[in-house]
Amino acid sequence: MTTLEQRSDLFRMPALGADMTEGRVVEWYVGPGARAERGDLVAVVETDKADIEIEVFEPCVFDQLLVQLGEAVAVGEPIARITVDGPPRPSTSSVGDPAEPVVAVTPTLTTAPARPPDATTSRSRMTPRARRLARERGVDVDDLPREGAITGDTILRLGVGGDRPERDRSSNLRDAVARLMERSWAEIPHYHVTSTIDLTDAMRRLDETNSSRSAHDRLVPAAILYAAVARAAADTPQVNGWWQGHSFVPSESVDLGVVLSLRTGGVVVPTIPAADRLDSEEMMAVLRDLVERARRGRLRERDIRPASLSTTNMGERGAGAVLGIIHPPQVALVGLGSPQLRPGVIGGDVVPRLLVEASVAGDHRAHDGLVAARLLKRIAHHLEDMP
Amino acid sequence: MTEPAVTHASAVELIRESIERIAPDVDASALPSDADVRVEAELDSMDFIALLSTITERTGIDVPESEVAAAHTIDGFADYLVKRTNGLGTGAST
Repeated sequence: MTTLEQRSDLFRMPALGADMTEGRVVEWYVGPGARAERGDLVAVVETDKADIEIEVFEPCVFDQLLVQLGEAVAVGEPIARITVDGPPRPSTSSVGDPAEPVVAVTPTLTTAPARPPDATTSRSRMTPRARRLARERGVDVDDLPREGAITGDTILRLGVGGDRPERDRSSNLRDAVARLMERSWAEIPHYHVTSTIDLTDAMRRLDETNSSRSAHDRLVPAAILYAAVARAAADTPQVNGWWQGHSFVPSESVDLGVVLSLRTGGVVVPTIPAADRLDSEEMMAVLRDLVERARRGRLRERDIRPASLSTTNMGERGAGAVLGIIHPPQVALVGLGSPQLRPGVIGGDVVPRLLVEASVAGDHRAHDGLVAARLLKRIAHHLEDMP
Repeated sequence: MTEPAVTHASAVELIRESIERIAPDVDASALPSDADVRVEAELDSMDFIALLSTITERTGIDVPESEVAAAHTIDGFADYLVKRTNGLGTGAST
């Protein structure tokens, strides 16, 4: 019995981050009558930290766009009317809000600040930076020039809001990280376990692979490391999941958060879903795309879905080891130091080997040092097996 | 699609522009031409690969993995590109 049912539904402002209370649609990729398939990107939403491209989770047709560009919309409020294929979903959530295991846990890190009066009626003339500055400074509509495009400099020239320095995205990002780290350190009883992993053979294989490839097809060490970490996490379920309330809830998949530094300062931690299913080639392709989009400020909703475990990597030029701070509500963070040529011991002889200090920061409520040691052993094991 | 008779100076210019393309926050004109760009411009491994790719795109010259050390400094990279373009480099077979 396959009748195609259709129902009218509302597409709602998604929560793009645990502390998000509102967002603004700054660009629509669809118009009335447009059809979207599952996973299609349909709009760009501005949050205080980043512009995120949002997607639909079920095939649908967009009937009516309900909000103006730049209009502040609370999370959960409708932004479009759509017609969805298929019978009504059992839960009360709408198309844009699939069931999430950690929704109940989303911490309120900050309360929404009182919003300054909306600054303009003709938002399409204002650039995103202008809108943000106008909001931050409480700019009055009447102060705006009547004609022409309004840029951030236009707002700054008005001199409203005093000499307050422009509160740019990277400040907000740093604040968000600061709050998260503060909370993590206060709430999670951290322990750290380290292990030296011999990377020599894996890197030799990597170099061989790269030797026959043109630059844009080459792999970086991180691709191999992250694939190994993800597989090791799949082998060690006690580290892959979330602390909710008073107990550990395992994740069904290894969704790996990777700490990426932005060139302009600060970090962003996008999620690589089902990372344990990727081999190093696939991981490299995912990383290349993520890094490029993260730096361009074009992350997508699916990139910032909750991770079940995260990893931070010093790269080639960082320090020997990193002992990290867990990103709640996760229960572990894998730290990877810079690979360094060091004396190793093989068969009783001291030989130069490429070694990396790997660490696990663990939530001692969820697991203990033995589990972390096991995770580190599994990482070493998978590195020997890569790809 | 290689450029005819590339000069050292034009190669240096090309490299500096390419660095700025992949790392827009860097003022490439301020980079010492004999310094390691990975350190001075803080290019990580992905950035460095992106730099090599950009140069390949613009000159048709691919730097094999075995020869990447030549590309660590702006001067070294420029010398390498001049040699390869003028047919004097090794251009190791891939």
